[in-house]
Amino acid sequence: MSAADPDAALFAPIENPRPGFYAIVGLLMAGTAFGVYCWSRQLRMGLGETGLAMPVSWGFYVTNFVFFIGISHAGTLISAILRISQAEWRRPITRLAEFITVAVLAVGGLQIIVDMGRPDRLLNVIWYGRYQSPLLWDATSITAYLTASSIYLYVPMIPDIAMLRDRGTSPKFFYEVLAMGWRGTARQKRILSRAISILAVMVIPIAVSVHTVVAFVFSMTLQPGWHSTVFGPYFVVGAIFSGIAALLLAMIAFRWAYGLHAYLKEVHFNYLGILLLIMSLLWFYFTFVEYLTTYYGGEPDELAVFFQKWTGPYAVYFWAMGVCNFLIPVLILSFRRSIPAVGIASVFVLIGMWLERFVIIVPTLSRPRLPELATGHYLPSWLEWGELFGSFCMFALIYVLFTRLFPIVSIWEIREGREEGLHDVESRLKSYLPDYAESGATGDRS
Amino acid sequence: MARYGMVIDLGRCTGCQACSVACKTENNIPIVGPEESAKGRDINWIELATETEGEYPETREKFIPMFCMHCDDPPCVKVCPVHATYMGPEGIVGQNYDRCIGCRFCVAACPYTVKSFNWREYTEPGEMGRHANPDVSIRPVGVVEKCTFCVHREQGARETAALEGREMADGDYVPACVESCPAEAMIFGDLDDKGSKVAKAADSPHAFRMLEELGTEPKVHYLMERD
Amino acid sequence: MREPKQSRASAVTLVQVSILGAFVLFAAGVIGWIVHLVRLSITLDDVPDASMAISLVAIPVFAILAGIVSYVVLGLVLDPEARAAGPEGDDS
Repeated sequence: MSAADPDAALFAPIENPRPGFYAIVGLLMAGTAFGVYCWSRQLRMGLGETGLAMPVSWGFYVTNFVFFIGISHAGTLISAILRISQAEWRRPITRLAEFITVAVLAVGGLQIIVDMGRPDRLLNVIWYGRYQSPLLWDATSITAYLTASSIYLYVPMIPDIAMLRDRGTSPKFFYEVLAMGWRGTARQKRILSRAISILAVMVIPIAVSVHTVVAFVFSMTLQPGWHSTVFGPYFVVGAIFSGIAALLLAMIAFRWAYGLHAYLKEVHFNYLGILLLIMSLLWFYFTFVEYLTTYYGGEPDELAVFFQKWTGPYAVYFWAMGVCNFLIPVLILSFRRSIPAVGIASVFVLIGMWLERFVIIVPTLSRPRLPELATGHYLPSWLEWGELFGSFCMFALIYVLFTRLFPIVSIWEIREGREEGLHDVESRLKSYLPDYAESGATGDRS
Repeated sequence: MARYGMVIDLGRCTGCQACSVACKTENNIPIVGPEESAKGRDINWIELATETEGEYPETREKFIPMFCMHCDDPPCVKVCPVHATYMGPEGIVGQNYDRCIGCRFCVAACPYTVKSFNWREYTEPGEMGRHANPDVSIRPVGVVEKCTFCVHREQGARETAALEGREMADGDYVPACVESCPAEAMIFGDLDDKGSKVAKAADSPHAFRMLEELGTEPKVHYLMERD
Repeated sequence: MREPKQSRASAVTLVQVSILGAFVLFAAGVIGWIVHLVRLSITLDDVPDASMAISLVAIPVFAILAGIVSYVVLGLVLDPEARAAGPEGDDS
């Protein structure tokens, strides 16, 4: 072990956490506890503690569910797709991304439990589930995604865990067990590489299926504003969009907190900023197509819901969504993709995407096909705000605790990039150019 | 097997809401109180929808009693994750209060907005217990409820018929709302029984169903007002 | 100093194999659940096609994941070179 380890900054948060770490954990635990208190109050006094009523029987919690599950697409896009396309710039980002997926799926799944009138009967879904119901598709798909992402997070972490084991970092037994006897032998490297390749390919369709079936919860009903064929792809695009924004914010936070300036460079933010810009344009395209189709068709119930958003009680949320998701990010990211610029754009995107989920769910419910029966404007109660706040704190808490145990940047992949990446990229480039023979690329290190 | 349906003659309906009151009494529907009611949490299995046509002073009020349509292809049953809302053998869309997990997917999926949810523990068992109809279970907090065509009365009528050694006849079993209507605007029975009053009424050229274009096949028909 | 090291190494291997076992049990549990739902839908004649179609995709996914985890854990833990290197190793 060299005295001046170039990657010392990556071990420091695990081996030498600063007091600031404990302060943040304390604050996040307090925030999470408040969220738990809000839920416990709801358990005692019923969902009547929320602002929900007829006809808006779904509100904050279902919005949060779709929002958090959507962010989970960060991990898949960056980690799996960039790995498969052999984009070298993904190296310091993959673990940050993969961990967002796992943490946010856990928090997202909890939102559904919070929304249930009878969470004590959760097991009914297991014993009596019906696969005709989109909720069962959700349950299966999200379980598969959580499982696959956890494996896809853990397996590429094994060489790093082995490093921690060899450095004698405590808890020693913990790292020794999870290192799975890794010594970096040729055979082990082959096994790891093969497994990661298969997982990278598997996890992409699973991820796409997750947000598609979440969209199906709405699009499989006959309700105006929901029963649209575009919802599946629309939600997936929105998920990737919000996922990249969340990833950028996580990168900024940990770059500052753990001094990772050498690893998370301007170029990484620039590239992700370009992806964020592309997703913003793609999101706008889907949104525009959806609303134009509704408006042009002029079907009365659909139009009524449309005007709830366009000029009606939900107009402020609808237009804020457009500004946050499209206007501001495109204006910023088209011209400047510096770290602060990208950070500001990402904050607006996360707000905008949360609003987008809200604007999809609530206006349709607020103006049913037979409005004579029930009307009402939905205003969330303080309890629902508290639950949202607590959920964010819980997600951040899980994430921060993770960084205390495992390196947030994949150390062995950085080293692999230094040692082999340069050569791989050079021979790949040569194979594209006319002046060189069709050189077989050395190794398939994705 | 029977296929229970209903026909409501809008030409006879006076908008008196006796059906609504009868339903509340028969089915132990909780009184949510003024605060909860102001928030939109009333539970009404049957509600009178009013539509005003025309401009003042040439207005006309239309009264349409709305309740569960007991669709033959119910969107609520499709989306229920646990079989809490289900299609019974005689066409009555049932609600299993013990199974319901309170996800409110069926509430969101119903195009007629006729399902209600227990946002709080509205029924104080002690108080209601003195007045409750013992044939109908009192719903706990966090579950969905809706019109059941007074299926408990069907069970009673079937047992009576069995005791008397005969088949059930048209008119043996009517829901509370039908029984209470002073204008005799509501007709109930087996739609598959060609001789029954309800089947004949449903065949009328003046009969229509709500949101028929959605393909839910509601078993509640309405007769247009005829001059 | 052989014995403490060896018993620790065995404890580590035991926990590692248990983790694998737990995961395989979990995957088997999920597959069992899906099968249960398929059978329930057939018994109740409640759109069995939907259940069967979904199980055709979902069951292989979990089976493959269990396979991959087994492949990785057993492949790494049982690697002869790595075991020969002993319980303490150098930086890789």
